Amino acid sequence: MGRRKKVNVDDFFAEVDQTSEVHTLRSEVQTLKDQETELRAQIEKLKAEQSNPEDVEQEIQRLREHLLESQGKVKFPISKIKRNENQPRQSFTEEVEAMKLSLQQEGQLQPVILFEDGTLFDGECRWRAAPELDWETLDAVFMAQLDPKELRRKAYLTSLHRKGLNALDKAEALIAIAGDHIEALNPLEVPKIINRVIMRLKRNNSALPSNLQTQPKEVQEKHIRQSLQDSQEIELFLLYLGLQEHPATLNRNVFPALKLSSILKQSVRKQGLGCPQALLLNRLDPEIQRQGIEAVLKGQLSIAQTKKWIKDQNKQEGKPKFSIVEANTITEDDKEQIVREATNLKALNLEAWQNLEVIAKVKQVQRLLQEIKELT
Amino acid sequence: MTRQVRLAIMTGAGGVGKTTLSVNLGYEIARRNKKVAIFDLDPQGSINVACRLNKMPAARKTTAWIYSGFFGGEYSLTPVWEDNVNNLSVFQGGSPLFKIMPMLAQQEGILALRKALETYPLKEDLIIFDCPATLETLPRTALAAATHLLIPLVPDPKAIDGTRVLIDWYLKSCEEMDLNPKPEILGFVINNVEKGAEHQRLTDAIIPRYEERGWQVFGPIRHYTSFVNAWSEAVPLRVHRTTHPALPALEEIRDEVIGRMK
Ligand SMILES: Nc1ncnc2c1ncn2[C@@H]1O[C@H](COP(=O)(O)OP(=O)(O)OP(=O)(O)O)[C@@H](O)[C@H]1O
Ligand SMILES: [Mg+2]
Repeated sequence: MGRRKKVNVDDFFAEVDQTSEVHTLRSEVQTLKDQETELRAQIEKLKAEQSNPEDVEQEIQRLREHLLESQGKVKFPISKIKRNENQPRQSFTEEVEAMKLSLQQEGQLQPVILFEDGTLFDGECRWRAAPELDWETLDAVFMAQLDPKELRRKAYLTSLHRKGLNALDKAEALIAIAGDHIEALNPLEVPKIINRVIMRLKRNNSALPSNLQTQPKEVQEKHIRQSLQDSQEIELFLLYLGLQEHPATLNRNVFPALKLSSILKQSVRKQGLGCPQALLLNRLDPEIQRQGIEAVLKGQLSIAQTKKWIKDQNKQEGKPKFSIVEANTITEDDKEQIVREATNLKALNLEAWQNLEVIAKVKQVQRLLQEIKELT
Repeated sequence: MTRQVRLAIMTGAGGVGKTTLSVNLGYEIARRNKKVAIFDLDPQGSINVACRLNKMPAARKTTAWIYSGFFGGEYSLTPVWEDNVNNLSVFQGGSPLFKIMPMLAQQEGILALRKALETYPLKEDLIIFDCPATLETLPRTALAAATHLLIPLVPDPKAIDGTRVLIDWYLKSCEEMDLNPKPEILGFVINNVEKGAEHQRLTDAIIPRYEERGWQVFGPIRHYTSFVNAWSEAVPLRVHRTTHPALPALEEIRDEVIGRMK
């Protein structure tokens, strides 16, 4: 056996940096929100005190600048903007006429300020004037836009370019994000949905291009809308592609981690057990899993070495308790072996089959053969 | 006027020298005429062994009492090593801490230690919280009450990764409990470094990496049988051996802590 690679401490520190970064990001967002709250409170106060409109306007301007700086503006459909019912003033005719002129000549100088649901906080004149010019959108900034859901997505994106996240953390973050962003979706169903769709696409020979996650958004949309019909599936696939994750990769390498036993999960989290190794060990009895964890951690076993350890265990125990699919291809040898073994069994007389344990196994084989038939 | 320092000694891995550090650091600082109390927050109650105290104190004489809901400022501080210093005491931990764990399911319980020290302040210049190794609710109570953290580790992959887990836990817990300001990470203490090449390699590798990130590193303290012998005799290292190569590292931490009192 060759020299084993020693642990690289940079891996630990990359993760340290990544978690610190997420927390910094989170507290930055909090600070921005606090500032926003303060500015809003100030405006409310001035309004309540019936202060000089110019003072109020100045304060609103500060809020607008703050929002522009912290999130930038978006083009928002005018049809989705709602009037603020609390706005005491009802008549706007003069200002609207003036605004129309200004919009026409200079364009929109200031974005309107909206609540999350599209209700106007500031900018009623612009909103009334724009449709008269046949505009369909207005530049807008949003208040309290960065809710925890958005934060989770952003935090995930910032950690994406690091290798630190293990498959388990990744899987959990991803299903939580799906739950945040897609209505009426049970997050626990996500791995099943993804698997179902990937399998279906494969059957239809229309697998997604392998680099789709790095393509521009429009390309992703085009592909997905061509390949899928169900709106929830479409939403889910676009969400993950938008996070630069390829659903097929998630299905193969990431979501399986959710099925790990609790001791394996714990070891992945607390002891740095590798996820691929954990997935191999997951097929063992819990008792042997524990031994496996120890062996892998102590010897810093690679994936291949872990497989070998499991095989060795098999030998020691006398009879195999578990099996590992070694390769993902079936050779002529494999085929022949199966037929040979089956033929050997045929030679046994029926009595030899009448043992309870044997009966159970045979039934199992029958079932498996049926399944294989259906698949091929 | 000096400011009270409340130092939580915690890790993401067991057996790395938290208790050893708690008692020896406590002793070193008491020797500098500071008033020091060590709170044992570990259900194991190892400090009882380190200082040869009664192993089965009544529950209300232990730190568990703080969390009981009946606490009214009864800190049962037992003076230790009085032959050598006269201002070092221990608030014993031990198995009663198991019993109050359910109380810590609620936010109120988590803040109990902090509340206690605010409502019934101690005159001590330094309070050391010796925490259990698992990052559960008891260390969280210490985090909420602490002004500073000190993190010992052994240079092995498990303990190094433990510090990663700890940092994550620290940031998350501070955020969840809305601790403002967060307790300051005083630094990492690399402890129990064995002669083997891998311990040496890892020690050399991690020191600059902690420092690059703005964290101070104390030590490294090598593996010395004297530490085990001092435990057996239930005395601090300095009493066991008046001169010892590990003492300068302890002095370095001592000065750093005393610096924080001003
Ligand atoms: N530098 C050292 N050299 C030799 N032995 C040491 C050293 N530091 C600590 N030890 C020994 O290691 C053992 C564990 O130390 P200690 O109890 O202080 O760790 P701990 O982190 O408090 O453990 P726990 O997680 O159980 O609370 C003790 O026997 C102690 O004597
Ligand atoms: Mg201890």
